[in-house]
Amino acid sequence: MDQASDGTLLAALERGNSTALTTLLDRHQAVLLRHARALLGEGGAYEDVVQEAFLRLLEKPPAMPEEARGNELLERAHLRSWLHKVTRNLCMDTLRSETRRRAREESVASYDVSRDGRSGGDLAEQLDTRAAVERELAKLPADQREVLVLRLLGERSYKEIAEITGKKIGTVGWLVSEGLKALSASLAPLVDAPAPAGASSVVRASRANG
Amino acid sequence: MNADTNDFEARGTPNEGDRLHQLLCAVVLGEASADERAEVERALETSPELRAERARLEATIGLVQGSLSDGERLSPVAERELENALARRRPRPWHSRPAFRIAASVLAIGSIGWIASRVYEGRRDVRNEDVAPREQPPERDDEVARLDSVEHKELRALGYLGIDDFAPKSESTSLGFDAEAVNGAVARPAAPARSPGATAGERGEAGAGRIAPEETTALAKAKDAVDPATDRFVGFTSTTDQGRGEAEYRAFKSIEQQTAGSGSPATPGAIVVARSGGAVDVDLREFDANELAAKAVQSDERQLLGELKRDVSGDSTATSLGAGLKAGQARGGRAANEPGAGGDATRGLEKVAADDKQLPATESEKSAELGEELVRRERIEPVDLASERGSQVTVLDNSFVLVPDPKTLEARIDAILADCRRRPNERPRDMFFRFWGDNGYEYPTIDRLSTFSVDVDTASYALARNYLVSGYLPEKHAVRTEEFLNYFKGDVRPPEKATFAIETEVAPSLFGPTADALMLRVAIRGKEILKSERTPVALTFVIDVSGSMEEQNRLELVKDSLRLLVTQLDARDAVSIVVFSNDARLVLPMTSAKNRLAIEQALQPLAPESGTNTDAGLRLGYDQALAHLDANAQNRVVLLTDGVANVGVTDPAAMTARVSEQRRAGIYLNTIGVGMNNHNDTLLEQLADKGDGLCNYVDDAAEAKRALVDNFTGAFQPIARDVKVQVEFDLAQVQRYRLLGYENRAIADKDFRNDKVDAGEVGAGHQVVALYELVPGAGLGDGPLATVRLRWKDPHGEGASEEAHESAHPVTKKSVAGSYQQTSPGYRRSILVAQFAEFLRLSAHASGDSLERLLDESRELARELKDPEFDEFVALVTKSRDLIVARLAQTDPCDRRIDELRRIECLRAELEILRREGEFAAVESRRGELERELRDCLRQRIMLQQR
Repeated sequence: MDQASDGTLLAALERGNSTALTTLLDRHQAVLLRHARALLGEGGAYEDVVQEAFLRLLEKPPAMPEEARGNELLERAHLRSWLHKVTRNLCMDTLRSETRRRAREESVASYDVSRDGRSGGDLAEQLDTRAAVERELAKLPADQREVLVLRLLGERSYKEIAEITGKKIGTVGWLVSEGLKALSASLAPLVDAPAPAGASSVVRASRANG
Repeated sequence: MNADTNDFEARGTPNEGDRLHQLLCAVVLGEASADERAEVERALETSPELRAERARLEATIGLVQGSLSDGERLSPVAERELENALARRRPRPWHSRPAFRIAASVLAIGSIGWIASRVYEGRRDVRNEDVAPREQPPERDDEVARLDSVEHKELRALGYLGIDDFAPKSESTSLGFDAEAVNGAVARPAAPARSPGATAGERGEAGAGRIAPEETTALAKAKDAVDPATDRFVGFTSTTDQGRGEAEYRAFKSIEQQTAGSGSPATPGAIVVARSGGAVDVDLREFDANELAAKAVQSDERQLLGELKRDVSGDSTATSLGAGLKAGQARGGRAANEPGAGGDATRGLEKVAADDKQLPATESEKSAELGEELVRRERIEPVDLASERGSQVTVLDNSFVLVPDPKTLEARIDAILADCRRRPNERPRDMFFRFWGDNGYEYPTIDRLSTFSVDVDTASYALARNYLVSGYLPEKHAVRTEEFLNYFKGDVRPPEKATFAIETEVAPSLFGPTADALMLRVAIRGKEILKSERTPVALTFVIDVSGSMEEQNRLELVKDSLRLLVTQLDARDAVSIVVFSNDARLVLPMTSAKNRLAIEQALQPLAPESGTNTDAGLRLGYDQALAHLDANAQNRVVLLTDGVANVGVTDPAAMTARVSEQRRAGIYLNTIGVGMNNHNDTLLEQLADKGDGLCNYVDDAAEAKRALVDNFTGAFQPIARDVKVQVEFDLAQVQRYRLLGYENRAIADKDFRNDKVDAGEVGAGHQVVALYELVPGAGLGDGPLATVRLRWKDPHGEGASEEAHESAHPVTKKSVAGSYQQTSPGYRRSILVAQFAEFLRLSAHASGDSLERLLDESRELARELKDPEFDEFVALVTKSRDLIVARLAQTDPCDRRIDELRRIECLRAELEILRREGEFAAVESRRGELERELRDCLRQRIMLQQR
């Protein structure tokens, strides 16, 4: 079952095959969780959203378009896009209800929510690379975070991302570029790539000469 | 989130730098058109800054992918719920078919109406529990017969009505069915394992912490500081920041469900997430039958899920299942007590039927949309309920931040405390794994068999070394004790004739707080194959020439490694080379290995290029290997890469699938990781695992020589496959045992002799070491205290049979040494290496052990061994000391208390197994005190985190 195409798995799922479900979950859940988390942040709702997305898959699986059938990659792309779209819509619903409630309860906002209270840069923090990456990703604006997650972790193309998010391809490219710019600056200490512009040309030149 | 305002076009002409950066990103990600690529290439040639920017982008992408790609998963509970939802869709048994359900529901409604009318007439009181269906069996059968014979198409939807809401009997059946599943779900450990496939059952069974009863008082002392003077670890906690977040989150969710499950209307502060199941259930309190019917149609399954979820999260599964059942009965009863409720319900049903007619059940897109619209409409109530909930969302910088109100905060704290408790029916060993991610102790009385697959990979040690040398502690999951053990050269003499030699040695444990513990070493050595006797090899190298290979001269290291490897080959062998960046190309077709010149000419000009399309590289490599498949040779693809695929197919599942497929076609896969930042250790290990090959990590020329030259036959000449080990412990002589490492290599005991179950390969001369810590029982007897069994198959090749071989080796009193000092140097080396891995993993078992002692003993042994490899080990231990102490010092006071609470819970479980419940009282008072302290501490921490 591990090697079955997504189309085959969907067909098996329709027949109630639980291995198909497990395989589909294994294949797709991580990146959907990432996607939902990019939109909803930490704190709970995102796992439910992904579970709900899979529930939708059980209830009303998408029909495979004729041209995708039998082509493992197209089937994968099609299903992924569908799952991402459903996940995104559910996230938006969650956010809408949250914001609506917030409008009613504006006065309750008594906590300080400034996000820049961190004392970055101490050794302890840097020890955990993964935590640092998570943190820097979380600092990005949500729309940049979403496209980066879809591109880098979901492996969706710009075109697919545009389709999933309802943005224009140009916007997706711009968001990816901005997001990566910010990340490569904030994660620079963890990457032993050449130092940012300026210093780098010197290093390169000396290496070339040596 | 505002798509339109961010539109690229809307921003006017971007400046040139932005545009170029976008193009560069597109090129690096393989999104650029040919023209754009050409433009970027031109710019790259003239601008060193841009080249630096490209390297930085690639490294950043690699870092993000490398650190975030190891698959987060839904909770086991959530997955189980989905499985249950699926199960509910399968063909149903007769008693749950729609027709029956319709009959039963009509009957139920009728009965409710009937009872209601009787109540109305004031004839007599109706007991809540006695709902109609059971009282009316003959009538019911008639109804079934009548309805079964008719096709009521428009009523089919009612089959989903969830008769369970009305008829207690149905509910009891379905809950009874799910109870098992729920227990299963609960029993699954929550801690993320490296291999998500391993379930609790496979991981092994019960066990408890190494907390002897007499240690209770020690536990009672708050472990608030690392004492640098003695350098003893106190207050270990396994939760990294990441793990802690997860634990809190999971715990939070469980409280949320509990609250929802209490059947009370949504309490402000308690529920954060809208779950239709929970919300519908809340509505039931009000018993608006109209709504219920409407919602039940679309949430039959979800509601059951909601119930299951609550049950799972309850403190006692059994009790809350019972409670759920009662609630169901009560609901029915309440319905009976509501005058006119039956009528309302009927109207609700009519409404649903009407709605359903508007929505023909087709698969078309339009209908799907309509369906969602309907769902949305029906969900108005749940959404409004959500408005009562206790966290608020704040929009700031386009980001959304959830801030808990005080009640939510308390609920979260309750949840964290609840998570530190043993779950219903949870086996001590599973609990231990859930808490700390380490194998806990197992009791032979519960499970006397320990079964695992061999693992001869060594990448974890080399990678950890690289981390330590660079001044970082490797992450817990990257430290695999078994790979540390197997990194070192074999010390057991290889067998002359047999395939394997098994040696066992036991001595008092050097570490650990229990004075009487023993450490058993099982060492399995594979036979050696002379270079002259080896089979020919046909190797296809698949080399990563992405931009990041420029860093640290990785590509040069790869070339040097290959040059070294080629020195081991001769006229029998053949080599081909494929390189990949954004796409793949063949630089050397299959060529005899004696043609060194051709190989060198292919290698020499290789230079770093752009993206990392691993899939294309592997694909072309396999094509090449397949085209030149030599039945008399070992056909093998060798992937050399520094990172994570970022172009083309990058899905690990798709890649591993291809590797498995090619393995069946007769091609093995070895993976060699180079460099550190982007190194996707887990993926490379999985690929090699599927390809029945070895995964190596090479960071310098010495390591390359070691992996490719010294270990040439080991890496390229398998002597056995599907090698499994099973150790059986004697009930009387062993009170409990634990296996160090092999967490993700566990095999179900019953699968030891199931030859369809895949296991690891062993290459020529490899040595596999496993350590067990044992606590002796009544005393050592004359019989073996354990028996080691080994099972394997011949390697693939000419005349290889599928027949498995098995050998057994008893561990007798004879092999028990009086003291650690009296054991063989190889044994001592294993003990020290494993202990180092335990320290690096910040293993719960290493809590209380002395790093200083490890260092002293290691230095002592190094003097005796005079082995540069072990000298290096000593240097690493020294190097790691400050890092470990620094890491421990940053452990916050909450985590220390959480850790102690968990230990108390493990201690309780242990007392229970040992039938010493009488001693519970001793730990209870400390627990109360701890919980109070922890509450204060968590309140501060959670508020702080939200800032």
